[in-house]
Amino acid sequence: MVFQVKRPTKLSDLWDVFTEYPEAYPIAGGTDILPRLNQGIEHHDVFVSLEGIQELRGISFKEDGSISIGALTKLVEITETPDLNIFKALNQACSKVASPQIRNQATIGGNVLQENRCVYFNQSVSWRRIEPCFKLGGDKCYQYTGSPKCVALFQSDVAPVLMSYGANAVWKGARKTRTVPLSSIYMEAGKKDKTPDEILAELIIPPFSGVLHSVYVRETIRRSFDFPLVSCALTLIEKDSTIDSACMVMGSAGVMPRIVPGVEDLLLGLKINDLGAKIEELRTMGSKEVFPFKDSRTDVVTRKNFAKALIKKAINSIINA
Amino acid sequence: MSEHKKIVLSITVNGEPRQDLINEDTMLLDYLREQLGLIGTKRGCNCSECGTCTVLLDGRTVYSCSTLAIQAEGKEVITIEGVSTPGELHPIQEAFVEAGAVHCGFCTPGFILSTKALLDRNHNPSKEEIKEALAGNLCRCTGYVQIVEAVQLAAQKLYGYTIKGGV
Repeated sequence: MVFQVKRPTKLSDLWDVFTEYPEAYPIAGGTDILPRLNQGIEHHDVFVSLEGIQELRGISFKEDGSISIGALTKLVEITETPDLNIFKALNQACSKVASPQIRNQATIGGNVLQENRCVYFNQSVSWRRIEPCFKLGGDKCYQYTGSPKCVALFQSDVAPVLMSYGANAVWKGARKTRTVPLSSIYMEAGKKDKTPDEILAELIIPPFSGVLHSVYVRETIRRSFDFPLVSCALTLIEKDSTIDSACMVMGSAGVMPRIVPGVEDLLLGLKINDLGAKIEELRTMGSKEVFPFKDSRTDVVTRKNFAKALIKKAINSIINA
Repeated sequence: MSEHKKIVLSITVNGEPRQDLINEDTMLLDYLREQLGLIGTKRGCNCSECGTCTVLLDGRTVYSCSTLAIQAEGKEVITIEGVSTPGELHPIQEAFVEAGAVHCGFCTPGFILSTKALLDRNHNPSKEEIKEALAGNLCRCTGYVQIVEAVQLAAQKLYGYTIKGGV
């Protein structure tokens, strides 16, 4: 295992690295890529460590009420920032990612850009079959036999929550900066809508007026240090005692988090205490968005039932808060 | 490309400021074990799952197997060798021995460091807080009961708190 690690200390130096080494693979905390490197699953000749670029760090509260979270902000820093406590679901998600060791090192940018995972791809190389799977450049899926494309799950805890807040992603490159909804960066087969010469610089939670209610719940096999089998982020904004805005996102629901369509139409104008009457409809709507994925951990029916149970738990948690 | 590129790493290990010539693609675990001979930090799964390679980086636990040594540049690393003073056990280590929390011992350095990181911030943790703090460390011998008891005992030894909910 031999590779180079470039260490720019400002963005302008990073652009020079990308010009000289277009294939350079960015490392923030490294908690996603480095284990894959150790397992021999993946190799890159050149890495670029973002650690020293201060412009990508920090949490700032803007005058317009929006909040900017630098992509290099560590998950543990988010859980320890009292001013972010109002974003309860964000705190819940950041506190549940993997283990303390990972949360101390992993960044929010890395979390929302993490590789999709599957039981075949993320196993030791020695168990690999000769013909590569889609993710390895081949034309078959061993995890989901017969699938015409890679269906590895995107298992971020944080991305569904940020999407439920309507967060934007700010990409910076040598020539331009672009701001897009976080939900738009996730593409089929686990690909992300980014070019190799740009970097995720910050995540912006837009301003809101009213009372924010948000919750994140997930189902796992182990109580901690596990990827979610399925998860649910629910955000409601209450104004004049009624729901003014609503968004529900299912996580680990397929190759990308899924915003459940129709939730805002269903809940608009309701009182929080009357949400219970809509639980059944929300359970049906939410579980429909969960891709019928089966693996060695759970089957299709159970995964969908977990989703239904989580939606009920999320709603009750907001009613009883 | 086959040559390792060398760089100078400035780091503080167990209180000693150092500058070492390392390969830039060296993992922190390899630097500590192979270059400094600090073999108390173990290589287990080598992919961030078992916690035997846990060290403290600026007071927080990280998996040294999946951390590049250069990510520790300018920072302070504490390994199990830096926890105690020569010839004397740290109170956390004493507690692990007294509570029977050490069986084969391979996971113990990682558990001790996770415990230290917890107790440095929270002098009187609940059982749930202890379990969460140790979630990233696996032990295949003890079944964890004695380990949780050891952490409670360590909190008592270090800070005098009576054990919540009994041992």
